Amino acid sequence: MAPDGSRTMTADVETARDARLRRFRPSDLVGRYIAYAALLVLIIFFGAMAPNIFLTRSNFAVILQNSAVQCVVAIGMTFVIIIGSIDLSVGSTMALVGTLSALASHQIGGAAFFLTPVLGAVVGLVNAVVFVYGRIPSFVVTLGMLSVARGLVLIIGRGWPVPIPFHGLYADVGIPPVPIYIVLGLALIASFVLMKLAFGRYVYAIGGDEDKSRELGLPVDRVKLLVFVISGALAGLGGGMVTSEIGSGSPTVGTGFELTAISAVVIGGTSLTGGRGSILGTIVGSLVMSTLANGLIIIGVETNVQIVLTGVVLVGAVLLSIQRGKLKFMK
Amino acid sequence: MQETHPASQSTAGEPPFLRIRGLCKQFGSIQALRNVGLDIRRGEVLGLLGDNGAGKSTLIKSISGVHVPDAGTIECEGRRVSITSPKVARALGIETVFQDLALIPNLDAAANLFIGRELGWGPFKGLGLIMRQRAMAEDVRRTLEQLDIHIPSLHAEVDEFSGGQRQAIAVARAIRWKAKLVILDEPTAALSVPEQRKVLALTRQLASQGVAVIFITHNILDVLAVTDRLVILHRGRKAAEVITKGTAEHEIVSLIMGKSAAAA
Repeated sequence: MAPDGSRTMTADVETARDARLRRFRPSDLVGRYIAYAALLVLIIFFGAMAPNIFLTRSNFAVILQNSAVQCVVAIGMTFVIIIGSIDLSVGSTMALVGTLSALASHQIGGAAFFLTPVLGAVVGLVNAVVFVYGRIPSFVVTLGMLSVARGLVLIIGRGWPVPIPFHGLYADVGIPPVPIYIVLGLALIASFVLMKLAFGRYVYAIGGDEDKSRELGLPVDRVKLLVFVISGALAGLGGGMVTSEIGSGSPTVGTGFELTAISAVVIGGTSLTGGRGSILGTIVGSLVMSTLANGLIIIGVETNVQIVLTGVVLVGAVLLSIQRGKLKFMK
Repeated sequence: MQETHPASQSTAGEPPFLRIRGLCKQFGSIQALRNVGLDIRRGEVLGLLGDNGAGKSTLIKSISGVHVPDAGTIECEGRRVSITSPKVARALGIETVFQDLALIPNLDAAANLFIGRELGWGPFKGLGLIMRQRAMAEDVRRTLEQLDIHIPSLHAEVDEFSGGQRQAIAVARAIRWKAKLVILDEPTAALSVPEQRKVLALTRQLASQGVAVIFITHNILDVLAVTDRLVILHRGRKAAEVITKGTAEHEIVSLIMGKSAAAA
C-alpha cells in the first residue's frame, strides 16, 4: 500500500468527475426554454398561414379559454412530476367528480361547484395512501384509479350525462373569462406554494433525491400525500369547470386528458425525472398545446390528427429535455 | 454544568463532551460492536480508524441516532442520553457529515444549509412555513465567508460544485447549526489533493474553535496531519487508543491490520 500513489489516483478520478459535473448540459437549456420557443414558432407559423383568422384578439381569447381546464389540471400534475411521480388518473377523476357534483347540484344547487376540488381531493387521497403506504409505483396506483374512477362514472350515470341546472352559479363558472381568472389565481397560489413555502422546497428536494431527503429528516411521506391530494383536487376542479362549460357531468369527459396534462407539464420544462419545474412553464406548455390544437383547426387539419400530434409532441419534448444521466434504469 | 450528577462524579474537571461505555450492536449473527468505550473531548480531533467492517460506521451511526445500540451507555456533557433518532443527536449538538454528504443535488447552497430547518415567518410552522430566502442566503454567505469557503455562486445548484466544494458545504452546514461534535465520515476520500488540504485545514479550524471532531479515514497521511488522538477498531472491538504525536506511521498501520489486537 503506497498512500501517495493511491492519493494521486483519487485526484485523477476526481478531476474527470468534476469536468463531467461542470460540463454544459444542453438538455437543461432546452428543457427550460423549449415551451417559449415552441409557442413563438407556432404563433409565427399559424399567423403566416392564416393571419386573418388566427391573429385576432377573439381567437387568442378562444385559445386562453380552451387552455384553462388543461392549465388547472396541469398545475396539479406539475407538483406530482416535480417529486418524480406521475398521476394517470386525472382524466377519470375529472369525469367522476363532474358527474358526482352534477348529481349533487340537484340537491344543493350551484354550491356543488365548490364540492369539486373536495371530491377530487378524496380521489387524490386514495391514490396517495396506496402510493405512500403501499409502497408501489405511482404509475401503477394511478393507472388503477384511471380505470376505477371511469368505471364508477359509468355505473353512477348509467353511461349517460348528468345535467346541471341551466342557470346559476355552477353554470356561470364556465362563462369566459371566469375560467381564465381561475387559472390566474391558481397559478399565483401554486407558484407561491412552490417557491416560498417550506413545503415547496421539500417537493423539489424529494424530486432531487428522495433517500437523502429522508436521511435529512424531511417529512417525505406527508409531502407526497399532499402532492397527490393537490393533483386530485385540481383534477376535480378541472372536471367541475368542464361540467359547467358543457352543462352536464359527462362520462366521456377527460378521456386521454392525463396525456394532455403530462404533455403540457413536460413541454413547460418540468423534468420527468423530478426535481425541476415551474408553474409558469406549465402554463406556457398548456398554451403550446391549445395553440397547436387551435391552429390546426384553423388551417383545416382533421381533428383526429391532433391526437396523433399530442403523442408526438410529448415524446419529442421528452427526447429533447430528459436528463438521461438521472435515469437509473430504462424499462 | 451538572457537577453533582452521579455518573460524572469520578471525573476530574470538565467531563468529556461524549462518554461512551460498553457499546454493543448486533446485526443478525454479526456482532458489529463489542463493548466499545470512548471519550470524545471538545477541541480535539479524534481519528477513528479500522479496516472495512471494523465497526467504524456502526459506531458513528450509533452516536448520530441512525442506529440504536443494543447495550451500553452514552453520556453527553455528563448527562446520560439515549440518542434514538438523528433529530435527538442534532438537538444535542451532534452533526454528522456522512460520506454521501446528504446534500440535495438540485438545490443551492443556502437551501442545503437550511434544509429541514428553514428560517421563516407566518402563521404556520413546518410545511406551511413561509421561507425567508434572503435572510437564509445572507446567513449562508456569512457562514461561508467565515470558513473561507468559495463556491461558484450562492444560487448555483450543489450538483454543479466540485467534490471539495460539496464537502465544504456539508461541513459548513454542521458548523452553521453550532455543532459541538462534528463527525466526518471519510471526508477526503473523493477529493483532489488541494481539496483534501482544504478539508484538513477546515477540520483543524473546527477543533480550534472548541468543537469536538471525529474524523474517520483510511488515509494514513490524513491521520498524521489532522488528528490528536486515535482510536482503532478491529472486528467490532477497540483495538487501541493512542496519541497521534509520537506514534509512528508503521505502528498505526499495523494497529489497523489488527496486530496489536492479537498481541493484547
